[in-house]
Amino acid sequence: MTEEEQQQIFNSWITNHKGLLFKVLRAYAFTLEDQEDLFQEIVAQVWRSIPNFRQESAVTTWLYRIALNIAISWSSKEKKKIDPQSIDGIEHLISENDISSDDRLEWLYGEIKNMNEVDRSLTLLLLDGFSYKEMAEMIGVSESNIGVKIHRIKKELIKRSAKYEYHGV
Amino acid sequence: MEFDEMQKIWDDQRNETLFVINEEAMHNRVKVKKKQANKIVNVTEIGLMIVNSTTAVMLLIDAIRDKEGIYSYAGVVIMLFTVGYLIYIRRKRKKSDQRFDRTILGELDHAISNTTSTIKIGRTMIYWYFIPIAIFIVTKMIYQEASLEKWLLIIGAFLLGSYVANWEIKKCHIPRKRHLESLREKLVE
Repeated sequence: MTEEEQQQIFNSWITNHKGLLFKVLRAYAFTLEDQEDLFQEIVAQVWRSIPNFRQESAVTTWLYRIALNIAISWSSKEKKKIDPQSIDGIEHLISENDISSDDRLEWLYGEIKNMNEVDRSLTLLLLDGFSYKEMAEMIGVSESNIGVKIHRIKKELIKRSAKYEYHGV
Repeated sequence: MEFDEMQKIWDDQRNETLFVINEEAMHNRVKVKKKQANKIVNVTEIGLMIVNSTTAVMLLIDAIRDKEGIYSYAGVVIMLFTVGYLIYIRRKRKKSDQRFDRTILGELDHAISNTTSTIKIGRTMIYWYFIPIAIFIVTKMIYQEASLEKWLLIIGAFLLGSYVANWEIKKCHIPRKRHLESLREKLVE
């Protein structure tokens, strides 16, 4: 594969699947600096992974696996304390768009953020419509194990949503 | 709220507009990252091999020229042994890179294995490198009847080096390994 071909695939993946990457950023990094740092790690790994992509899986599955792998290991690293003044002159990779978001979606992301690293991954995959089989293949554990975890996650989310609705936000 | 409703809220989100990507900056960063790949671990391994080989050659020249006795050659052997050990560790690491599957659990196992390898190299450097070299230098200093200042300086340098190496293992690598192992437990529980 030539570098030009790799570049074309990279551009098309990022353009068509950036939404997926943004979901992972929101679930794992909570400040713009951290989101930028994580985004940088993910896109670098996506680039490196292109020659290994054999089309045995869908691009979304491939990208989710890479993004979640990086996000889980990224969240286990000790974060550097970034001085906001020191990054003023640096070219930023991402910036927030000025859009109004659904409050209920904000609540949902808030709940995902409160989960452990593994449950966050499973919740993203569940909400994005991956089957237990696909999740099991992506994560490397059995389907029944996935089923148990998903059941617990759903139950907890429904329980927490009752509190959210009670407060009438 | 039922889960179906959460699903609907999720499906309705406009992810594409949440962030704006600066494509030029992204491509620049990817280029930099490409160059950095494996650089740190290669620099550590190859750097140590070069330093230890050079030291071995210097000790050998010193031993031949000064004819100071068998302990001078012992230093050469120790240095060459550490080079051989580093080559062995490097080959083992490269081989193990292909052993892990591409699942999240597989990648996690790989990360745990890499951290274990880093801890092993760190400990090896303390016990099988630092200590023999210290014994070698101390023997040489006894033979040369070194001054008290020189003794204090050498002992201080070794204590400091050993403390820093231990500190790095305890404060950085072991906590990281524990965290990765706890992530693994969460995955398979």
